Amino acid sequence: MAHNPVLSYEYIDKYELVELACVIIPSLPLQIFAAKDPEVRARPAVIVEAERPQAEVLWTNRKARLIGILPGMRYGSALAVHGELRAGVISPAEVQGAVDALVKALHQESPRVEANTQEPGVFWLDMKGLSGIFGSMSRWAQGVRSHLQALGWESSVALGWQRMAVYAIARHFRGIRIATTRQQEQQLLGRVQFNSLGNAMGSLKGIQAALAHLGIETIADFLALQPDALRERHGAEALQVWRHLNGDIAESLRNVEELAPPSAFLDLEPPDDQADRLSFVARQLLVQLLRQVAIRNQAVAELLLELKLEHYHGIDSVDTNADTAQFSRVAQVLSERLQPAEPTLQEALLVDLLRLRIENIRLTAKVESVRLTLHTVAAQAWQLRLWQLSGRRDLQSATLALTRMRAAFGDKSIVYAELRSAHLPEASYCWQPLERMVAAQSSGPASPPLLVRRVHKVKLLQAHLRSEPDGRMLHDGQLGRSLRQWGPFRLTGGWWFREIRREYHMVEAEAGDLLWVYWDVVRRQWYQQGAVD
Amino acid sequence: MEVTGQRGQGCTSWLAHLIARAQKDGETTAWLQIAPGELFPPDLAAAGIDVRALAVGLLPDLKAQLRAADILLRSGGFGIVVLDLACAQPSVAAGSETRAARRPGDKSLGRLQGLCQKHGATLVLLTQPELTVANLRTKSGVRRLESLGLFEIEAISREQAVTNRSPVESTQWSSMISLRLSLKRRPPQPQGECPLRAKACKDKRRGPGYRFENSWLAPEGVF
Repeated sequence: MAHNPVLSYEYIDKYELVELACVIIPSLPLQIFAAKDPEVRARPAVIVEAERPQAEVLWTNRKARLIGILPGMRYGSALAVHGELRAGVISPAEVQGAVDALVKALHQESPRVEANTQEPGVFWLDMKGLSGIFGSMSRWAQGVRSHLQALGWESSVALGWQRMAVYAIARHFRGIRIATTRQQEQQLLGRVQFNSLGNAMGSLKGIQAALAHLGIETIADFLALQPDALRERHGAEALQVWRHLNGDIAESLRNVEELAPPSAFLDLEPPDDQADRLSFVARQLLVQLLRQVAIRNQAVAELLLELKLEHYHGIDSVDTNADTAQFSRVAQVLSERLQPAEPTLQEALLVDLLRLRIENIRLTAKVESVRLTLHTVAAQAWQLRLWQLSGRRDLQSATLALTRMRAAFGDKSIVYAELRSAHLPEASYCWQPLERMVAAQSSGPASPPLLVRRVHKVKLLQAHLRSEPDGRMLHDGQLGRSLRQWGPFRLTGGWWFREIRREYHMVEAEAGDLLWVYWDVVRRQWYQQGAVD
Repeated sequence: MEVTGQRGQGCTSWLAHLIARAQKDGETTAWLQIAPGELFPPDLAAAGIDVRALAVGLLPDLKAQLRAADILLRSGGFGIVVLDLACAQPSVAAGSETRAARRPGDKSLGRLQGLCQKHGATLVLLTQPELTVANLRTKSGVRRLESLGLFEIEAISREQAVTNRSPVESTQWSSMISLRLSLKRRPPQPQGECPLRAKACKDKRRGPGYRFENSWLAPEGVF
């Protein structure tokens, strides 16, 4: 029997067993493009937002970068640099399809695989317990690369312990990197160029540019920064990245399970042949299955309806093709396939399709049981949106509506907030009449998302009584005692007119509310300004 | 769409996040509340909202809120309209109401739904279950709920609602609501993170029952 170094006690004493692997498919959209057009590998090539001159260049291959074509350029400008530039558009659906195929392939290497949603092409694999099966980890990693190469994907693999550490290592060092100890993992992580990180932890473009100006090049330099100072100067997002890389945030692997198509059946007792009742049963099954589909963020591409007949007397179906009909005769099961025009999650549409098909089937026997199977594909982002993107809203119409609002309810009925530079919360903004609707200049929600406060009419809090238990009783005792408080944060002003001195606190009430209160030093009273909601 | 939760459970924060995302997608947004309102714009700006492009309605009562929503949605110029009912007050003074004044919502909400469908817009109702329970104690409160014609009220005492602090299922809106989310916030962690859990009590498109939870950052001062 060959000596297996991983299983020997000396090896285990010396090296810890890795727990996590990260597999990265670099520039996934470009690799998809190369699979469609093999010439891409030999020539400068780019992925563009759309096929028009003003479209943004999203990805560039090495040959394109060498001649000065970089992401962010316009397609027209890139063409001016190199007339024979290969360009393609890769849709989100194509990327999602590739990710699904990769997840399926990686499930052959590890039972638990997570695909990063923010950066397609990044996968984490659970390595716990695999050492004993595969022996050498480098052999396992080589096997993964070979497997992916056979499928047409170039990849890099890193093995270690911390999620973001292995991600950064795999992203920076091409090929295979295996950390044998946690210290070595930290050393490798420290050498990674900060600019080489992608979007797996969120968009880092702004932070990377800002830190590059300060001469912070490697992750070791980045981790040497003080977290409080980092948050103050570069925001909560930068702090979040610091905590990810420092290993402060331990996230468990979110396994993408290989799931069988959702399927459900119902026995009919007694057997039935009435179309409306069968439609109702099918709808019942559909509603049940759609929940599963929606939770997986998928959409229905095809429905397979199977009706098991009580006694076989032959089948006649209006729309059934020859193959299906033959299969049905043998199995005494009538199978009907239905395909919506495009993958959908709309219950009403699918119910309607089922009803129409069932109404057109001429049954020669009663149905004993109904089985419904849904074949699904990844849902498009717009299908999961809360609102439909309508292109540009007509701001002129919106402005007209504002005019009508003013006519109906008065000039101050429709306003916008103007922020002001002031210390006191109530002076930090004012409402101004909104005359004209303007297009929003928002860069999107804060990341991580922030809790906001609601301001109430300033309310005097009752004085603390000696008879009360520990902590201040809030809101006449309705919210219970105060459990924790943060502060004070002192604000002063108006000394030239009417002095204001406040000490702000955030108070966590027993009932869970986060109250925003202050101690008025001049009046010697507690007031509530608002609460987090 | 309805977002519901006890006061302080993160409904406003969740909607601020939603609006910031909608604004990024190029949607026009409006927030209709009863004057003087409870929004704190510096926090909204910190959450990612362009406050200059958020139309805020400061209206006298609930009836005016519904009318204003009708005007905005009818124009087709607004993509997201939030109807803030969490701080709503009774709409008419006792003794002065007519039948029409008591029931403005029946027709209004049906009309608003039609306008949403026509213009591809979303109407978000911000509700607070505790408020409805509290309103049961007053005649005016009951009148307001009846006037909307939207609530199905279970027999639940105010004490239960306050002590349990759980999303109360007492505000079952009519069939017009396509998505109903119930929110609950957990206490702040040492690093200032507050897990916020949303549960879909009703979803016509995807089916109810799913939950999602994210870590939110508490305002400055909590960490």
